[in-house]
Amino acid sequence: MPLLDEEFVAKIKGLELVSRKIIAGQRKGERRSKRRGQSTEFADYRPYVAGDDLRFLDWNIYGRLDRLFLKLFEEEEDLWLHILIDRSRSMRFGEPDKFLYARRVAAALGTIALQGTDRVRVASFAGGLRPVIGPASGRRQIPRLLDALERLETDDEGTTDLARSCREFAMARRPSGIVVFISDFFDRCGFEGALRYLLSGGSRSEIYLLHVLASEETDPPLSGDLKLLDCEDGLDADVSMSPALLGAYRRKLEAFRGEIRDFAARRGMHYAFAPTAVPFDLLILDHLRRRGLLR
Amino acid sequence: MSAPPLLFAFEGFAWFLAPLIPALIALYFLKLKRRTVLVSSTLLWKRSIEDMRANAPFQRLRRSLLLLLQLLALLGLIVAASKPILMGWSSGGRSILLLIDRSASMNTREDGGTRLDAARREALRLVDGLVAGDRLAVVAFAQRAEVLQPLTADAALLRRTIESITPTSLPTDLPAALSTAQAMAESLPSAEIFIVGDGCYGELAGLPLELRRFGLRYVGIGRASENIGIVELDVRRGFGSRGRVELFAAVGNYTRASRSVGLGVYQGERLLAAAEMEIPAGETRPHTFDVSRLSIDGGETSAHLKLEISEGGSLPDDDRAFVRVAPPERLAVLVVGDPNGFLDRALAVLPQVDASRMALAEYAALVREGKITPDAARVVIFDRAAPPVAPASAPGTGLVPPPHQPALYLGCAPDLPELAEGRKPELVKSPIIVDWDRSHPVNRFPAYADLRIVESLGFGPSRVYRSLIDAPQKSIAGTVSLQPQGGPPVRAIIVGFDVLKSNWPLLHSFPVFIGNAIEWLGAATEGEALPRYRTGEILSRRAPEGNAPGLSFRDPAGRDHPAIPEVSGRIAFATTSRTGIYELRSGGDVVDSFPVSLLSSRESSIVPQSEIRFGSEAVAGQAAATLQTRDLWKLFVLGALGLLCLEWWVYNRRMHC
Repeated sequence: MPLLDEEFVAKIKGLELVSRKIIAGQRKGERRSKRRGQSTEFADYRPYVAGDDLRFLDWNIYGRLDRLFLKLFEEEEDLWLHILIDRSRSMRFGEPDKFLYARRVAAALGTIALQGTDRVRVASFAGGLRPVIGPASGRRQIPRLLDALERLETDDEGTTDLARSCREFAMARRPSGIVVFISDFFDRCGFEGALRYLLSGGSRSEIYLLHVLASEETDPPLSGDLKLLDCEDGLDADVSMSPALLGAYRRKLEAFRGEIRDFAARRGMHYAFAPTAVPFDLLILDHLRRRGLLR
Repeated sequence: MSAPPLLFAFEGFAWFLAPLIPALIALYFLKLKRRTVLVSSTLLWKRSIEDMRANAPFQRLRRSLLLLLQLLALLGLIVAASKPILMGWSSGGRSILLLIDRSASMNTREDGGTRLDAARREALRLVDGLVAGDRLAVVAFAQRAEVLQPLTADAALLRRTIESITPTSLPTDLPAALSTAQAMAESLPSAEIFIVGDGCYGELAGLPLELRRFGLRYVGIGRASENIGIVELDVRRGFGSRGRVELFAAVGNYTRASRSVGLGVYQGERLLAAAEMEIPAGETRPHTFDVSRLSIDGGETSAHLKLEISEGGSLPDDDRAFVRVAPPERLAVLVVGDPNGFLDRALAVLPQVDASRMALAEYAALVREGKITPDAARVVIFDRAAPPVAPASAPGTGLVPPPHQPALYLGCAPDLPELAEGRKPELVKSPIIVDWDRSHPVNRFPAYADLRIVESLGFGPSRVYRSLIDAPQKSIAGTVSLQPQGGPPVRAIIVGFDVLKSNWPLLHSFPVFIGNAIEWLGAATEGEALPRYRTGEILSRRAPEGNAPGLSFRDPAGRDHPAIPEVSGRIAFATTSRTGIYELRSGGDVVDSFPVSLLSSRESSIVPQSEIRFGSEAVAGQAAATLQTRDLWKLFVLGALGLLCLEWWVYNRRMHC
């Protein structure tokens, strides 16, 4: 089964990525850039200095003020979309599993980006960062993107190391753009340090955190005396299920989400909770549009 | 006596099984079957557990409905194993076997009546408490148990039966009574056995397993009473001086203080001897009286002596005891064989012995004619001449020709197949005496180390033969005891060597041996009554010879009981339930008399027991009113089963939902 069916692809045809920040791209594109360039959009004036291109002198100003000013135009550049997919073993959990859900989201966002002039780079992470595709641009890259995502598998060894993965992402020389971080955020070392690495590239990138959780995690169907076994590190927990314990778990989960949301909000990141119970197409076509990532 | 409303028949079981509860809890922890469930991360679960300490032991216990149900079920089973009994409330439909003690100790006088009266009252109270569906059987017991009334629900009949229970002076045998009750209860699905008595039953072994399935209850009768009683009495004539008569008595003090007791020996109303004894508390003291002053008239067969104590306490049965003294009896001894001066002299020195001699041929002729009577020859000595025996004689009768008196064979042996298992005695030359049986009465005093013999018959081991004097590998003298079919037991002493071909007549052991042998053989006739009997013992003697019409035993109360001679020629009377003189009468004349006394330290010790101890187990006494009981163990078992079903249901529900 392909990650995206044709009906869905048809639905996203008119969509495009929206960046609330003006981000410097590498190639001329359709996006406004902070760089002053050669588009038709006027941006500002600045005094002429020797060596400037005389074609951009504003002769009307020179006539009125007898001073040379250069007309600056906004340069329109391409937008970079960085998608980071958590491929740790915990993502395989749930029905449908979170990893499939994450890949479909990545596929949808990547397809939308490639439909336009945006450039897409996809990487996966577990114990460390591993590129999946990119950079890619243009419609012709869509099949390659989808194929790479379909072949992507979870890492069956090691445990999630969000901090290391994000540090590797930050250390790689990369253009600013939109960063979509798709994960369940289950890392015993915490998520805070990792997200700080994401920010280390400067505030020009727009970071979206998609918190994917399966319905088995939001509402565990468990009862009796159980030994819960962590699928990644094998750590176990002996529990005797009771309504009180389930209530405590739900409260802890809510608090966990709240921590991520607050951390993100304080640092200008966007947090979106994406339970797999919410149909994938509804997430893309409705929730993310309302969040302003797509239009 | 106030009883708790709920008691446990096997309380020890509960203590024995109680450790199962902590064991179950421990097993719960050790063997808790946790289902392993793979989760994406235990991160949040750990936080949740820490938050509510869900894995704390008591938290786990509190949440475990299954464990709670298991514990309740186990508790129910433990309580059921202890056999809980709800007192004072009966559900009806019970089968009760009521065992009423009527032994001698129940004749103790207390509060204006006897203990048996009190037992009757308690039994009647029990009958009053019967509800619809209850049935009760009445068994009176002492030495034997007698079913007076089989199971019935007829209260009026039961009352009449209980009121008709007569006292006895018999000792008690509770195990025998319980065996009777067990035999009655075996055909019943469930039964309760109630013992009403004073608990003076001595040391009892553990309760038999078969009885444990029945509810055993004890209604204690009596209060602390004091008693002093005669526990032993016997009479004997002095050895070698048959004119001297000694009365041996033992008196027990069953009070809590040392007591001085006066004793008097009476023949009729005449005081023959008296003594005063100081007996410490709880002890028994013997005393010997010289009663040689007693007189036996020519026409009387015996004299009766009565020993009486003053201040005998609450139990009258043991305050007097009786003994019979027979006149010094002359023993007719017939010697068959050629003259033997040494033997004749040995017999001549024996007091009370009338010896006569005849040749073997003359004896054989008299035997053929049937002219030898037991009274004419109580003991026969065959001196170097064994009697001829008819080939058609019945087995065993060949020991001595009719009328089968005890016999002493000197230097000869009877032609008896049973002797030496059919092998002929061998002739042993110059046998050396290696040993002799010092425990046998015949060998009392003599020693045979100096005995020199030319030759002797040697006897091998046999079922009927007991050696008296041993030579290497063979016995040269011994006793033979036989029980011929249909006849009284016969015994003989065989000396395998001719005393004239030995130095024995010159040794002092010879006359002593002859005296002992005649005394032992003469006593074996058992024709007469013994000096004294205990209550419950069978009175037995040889039936009077000749035509004795209308034989009957008369008990001390004056009631006559017909006496019918048995095939063996003896007559017996078994129901010696009261103390006193029993008489054997024939056509109104007293033929013989039998003194019967209690003489039982167990019955004289009348301190009532609050519980009956069966080995290490005790059945505590209860008031009859509390014996309206209901067994609750079935309810507890049902409850435990119900809880287990519920636990199973909850378990399955958890596993599959």
